[in-house]
Amino acid sequence: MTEERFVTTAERWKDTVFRLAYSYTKNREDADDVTQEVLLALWREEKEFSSEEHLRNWLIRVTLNRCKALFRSPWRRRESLEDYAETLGFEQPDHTALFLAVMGLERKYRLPLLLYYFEGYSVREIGALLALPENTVSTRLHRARAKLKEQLTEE
Amino acid sequence: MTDREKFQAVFGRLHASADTMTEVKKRMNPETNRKPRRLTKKAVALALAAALLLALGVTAYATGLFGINIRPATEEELELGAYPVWDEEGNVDYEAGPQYPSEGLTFSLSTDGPVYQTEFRPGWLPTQPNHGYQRGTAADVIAQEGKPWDPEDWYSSVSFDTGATGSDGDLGIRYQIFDANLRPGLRLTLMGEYRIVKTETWDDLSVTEVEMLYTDFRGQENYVLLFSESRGFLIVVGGSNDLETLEHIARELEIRQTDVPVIDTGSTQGLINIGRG
Repeated sequence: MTEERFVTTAERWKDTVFRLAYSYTKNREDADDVTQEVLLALWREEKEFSSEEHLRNWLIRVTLNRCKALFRSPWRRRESLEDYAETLGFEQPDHTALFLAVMGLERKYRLPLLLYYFEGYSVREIGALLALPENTVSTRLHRARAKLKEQLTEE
Repeated sequence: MTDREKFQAVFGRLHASADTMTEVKKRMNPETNRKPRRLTKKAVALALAAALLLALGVTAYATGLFGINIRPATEEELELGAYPVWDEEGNVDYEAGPQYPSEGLTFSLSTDGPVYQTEFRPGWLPTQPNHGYQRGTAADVIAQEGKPWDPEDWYSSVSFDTGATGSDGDLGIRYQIFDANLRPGLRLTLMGEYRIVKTETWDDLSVTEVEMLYTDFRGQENYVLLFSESRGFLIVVGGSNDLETLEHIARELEIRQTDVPVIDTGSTQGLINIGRG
């Protein structure tokens, strides 16, 4: 794609990539690094995307692969979720609580939750993106919701 | 507000950093891409000097610039290693809460001199690695994903894993060799119950061999740690292999220093258990 078109596309999708990378790594700097790498991969990608949905799926898969690569490195940066939450400027206390509760879940629950509730993917689509059976995705969403409900009603 | 609207309100506040596109545009231009690091004249001179000293039977060229204190981990250091407890179905058991390791072994560095990045080249491995990363930032590490293993290349991290996802606790890592990227004031902890099997000296390297005494899902792990007080590096060779195999890997490593100072991440504490840093 042309540089002009790439910049427009990258601006459109960089936050989507960052959100997914952050939900995987729980670290802002690592998520920023992954975001840059994914966007560069997009720039170097020669194939044409048949639709915006095709592009979004590609971005999500590449983001997850880059995050996995990062976790193979012996060194990973640590960051306090509470510190990051403070910088996000949530207007309501229950929003902070939801952020901390979701990010406190295991990754296998965080990713489907974000893909379902934020990105709006269906269970079937999430299964395809994460290479999981639909039943597993459904179960994880169900368990994640139960854990969140339990945690958030305790507070 | 529906659940979906709440998620939108919360996670919609997460944004990539403001300079993301600036950084990406810099790297889109091939002229500004980083060039591969070459073996410098200084590194060659160091390697030749080391070879000469060894040939003359000199076992120590310690300059006293670097020291390491190996001691039991403190409670504060052990808090780094908290991990979830799983129930029988493989789900996190929130009732039980996180489990904190009861002990660990900390390597605490002291230095009076600058510390340079270290690389190595394995001379022998029990199986061909499926991951090898060369020196650089997290972004560099990511960019190397999928690059074929080259036994002639120099690496900062090499590993073989079975591809397990870690959802059940097994990270599937069978061995990992990495440079611990020492810097002044750094404390690195090997988390878990341990037994120091032996300590000895190989030329200018202080060698510590440790058997981990895990009794949970993590299975067997052993470590051979190589510290150079003259050059200021700590190379970790860890894995599910027995100590004899890990020692073989360690003895066959070619290690060299670059002239690039270590990257200061600002962190003064870390874990050196394989795959769990």
